[in-house]
Amino acid sequence: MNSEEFQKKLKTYQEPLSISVSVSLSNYFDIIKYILDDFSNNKNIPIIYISATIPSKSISTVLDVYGIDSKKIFFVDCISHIMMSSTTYTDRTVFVESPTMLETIMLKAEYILNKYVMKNSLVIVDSINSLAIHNDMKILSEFLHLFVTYLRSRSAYFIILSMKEQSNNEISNILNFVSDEILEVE
Amino acid sequence: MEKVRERCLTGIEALDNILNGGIPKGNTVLITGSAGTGKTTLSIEFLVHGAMKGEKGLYISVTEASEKLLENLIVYDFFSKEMIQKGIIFIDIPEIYEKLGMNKLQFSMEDINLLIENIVKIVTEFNVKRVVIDSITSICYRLQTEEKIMEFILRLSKALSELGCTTFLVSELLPSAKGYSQYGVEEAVSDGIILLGNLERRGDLLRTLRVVKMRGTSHSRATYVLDITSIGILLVPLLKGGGELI
Amino acid sequence: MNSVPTGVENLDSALISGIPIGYTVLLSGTPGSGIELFAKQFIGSHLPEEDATYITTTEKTEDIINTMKDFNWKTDIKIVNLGEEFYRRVLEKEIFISKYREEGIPASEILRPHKFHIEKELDILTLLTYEISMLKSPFRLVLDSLDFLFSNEENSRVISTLRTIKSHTQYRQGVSLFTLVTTLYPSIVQSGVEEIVDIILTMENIRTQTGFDRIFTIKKFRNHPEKVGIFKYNFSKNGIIIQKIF
Repeated sequence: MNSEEFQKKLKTYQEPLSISVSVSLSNYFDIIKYILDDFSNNKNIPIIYISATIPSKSISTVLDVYGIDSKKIFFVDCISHIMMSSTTYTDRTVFVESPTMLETIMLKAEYILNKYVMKNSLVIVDSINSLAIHNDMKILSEFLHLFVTYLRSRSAYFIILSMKEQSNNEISNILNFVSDEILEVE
Repeated sequence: MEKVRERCLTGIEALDNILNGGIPKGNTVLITGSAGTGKTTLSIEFLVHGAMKGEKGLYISVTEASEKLLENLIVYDFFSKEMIQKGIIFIDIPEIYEKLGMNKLQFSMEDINLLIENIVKIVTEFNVKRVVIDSITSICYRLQTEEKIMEFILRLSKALSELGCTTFLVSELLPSAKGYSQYGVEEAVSDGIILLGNLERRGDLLRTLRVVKMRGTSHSRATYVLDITSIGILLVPLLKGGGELI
Repeated sequence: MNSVPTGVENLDSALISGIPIGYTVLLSGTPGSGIELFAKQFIGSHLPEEDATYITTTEKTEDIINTMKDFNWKTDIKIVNLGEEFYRRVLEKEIFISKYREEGIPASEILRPHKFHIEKELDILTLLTYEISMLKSPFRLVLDSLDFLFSNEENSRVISTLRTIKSHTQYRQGVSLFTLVTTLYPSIVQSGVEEIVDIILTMENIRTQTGFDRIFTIKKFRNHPEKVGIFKYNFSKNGIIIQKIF
């Protein structure tokens, strides 16, 4: 589908489910913008953004440029530490030392969900490809399976971003296994 | 069919789930692990959740002055320090030793009896329902023989159990220890063992928790990863990526 | 050599017109031999210019004064009652301990653990050293008795305190007298004390078929071995009297 179709598709979601979204590098930021805009501004659902590709600070900056209020978004940043980027602690950002600490990513998401008592929420993983660089496939699929099960029990939307250029069969298999819907955006 | 025993909820949701509904009331549980694995934090949270439900807690501090402990206590979102001090009795055992004239390095059987009697007296008078002894290892050090350690733990846990009290015995695990406790006896006479540890996996250090044994309930024996947060201890299952428990 | 009188009839001439200034004397004796009476007679015979201090560990202050009045000795002395202080602090604590061991620690003290304090352990030797340091030159000091110190403190610490007193006595132009009941101590303690002091006097009360033989000896006199000798002693309304027998 194209970007417009994708935006329309997003609007149709009314019940929590897990979606994998395959994007190409060229429209990567646009897609993120559509998702955040729809959930944050239209659905008014709080968002937990797990950043394993780009430090959360850079994402906030981009979002501000797009006019999306990043203050409504909680970040679980698991890349800043290993990139030795400066980490500014805010009550909206928690840091995980490394993208290999998959359990800690779940713990931090659970922490935010419990602390801010969110009935409906959206958890975005950005991206499965980045996590795949740091983790072996076996542990990564175990992680996503556990995480998706947990988020279902918490009635949360779950969006897993994947990058078309970096994808492979193994990643596709995992996504098939854990997703209710798979979207490919051209 | 196994009779279902009344449960004492630790208040740590994931742990209560692992234990299929909490710790069987009256059990004496060894909270064991090496330094810095979260034993004291876990034990305090157990008392805090009790206090929130109106169950009086007793924290017997053996190694660290309780004043200092309170200073360094994690700030919980759900329970203030003032409430903690109101709902939990903190006792420094050296004060008990001093008041009972227990100044010898090695305790006699009479000393042991006195110590048990006085703990039981406090528990009775204040209607305490949750007890933490932090650490049992330091008391064992002054009991020295296996017979005395066994006698002490068995008699204390029997007395406390009869009073409907659920007890945590914090055990310091030194690298030299084999099994789950320093003297080996503590684990044998406890009703339950919760093992806390550090797991190193490809350079990452994770805090872990495992329920090794718990009388009176079926439970998961899997290893969980633990996080200490302002909303309390959180647990998720350890992913099977290999790694060595340290 | 300047000396000060002992107040004991015939003893001053047997010494060198009394006790040389700067000397430390040990008076040891069997129980019931009268060493405590000697000590009082000695302090009561101080010269007007001497700062006289009587440190007691066993008697009540008023009993000391009354006894001295009975014999018409001067009572313008300072009495330091280490025994009472010790009793007040240490024995009081032991009484508490035995009460707590019997009845258990009261609940009120559990809830306010930091309000209650058994007073800080009294270090008698520190207190003693402090008293000694307050003495003005010239002084006359009696310490009755060493037995109390040896039974409550480490022997080596007592010996080192005695050395401090001895050197203070030398440099501050004083005379000091220690009492000690013989045959109670290991020889290392006895010889430790005997080595420190300049003069050793002994009193023995030996039972015979018809009554008692009371033997007084000058056992040691630093640099004056010719003064060593054996005497008989007896009591009169003025106190102890010694008589030459050989």
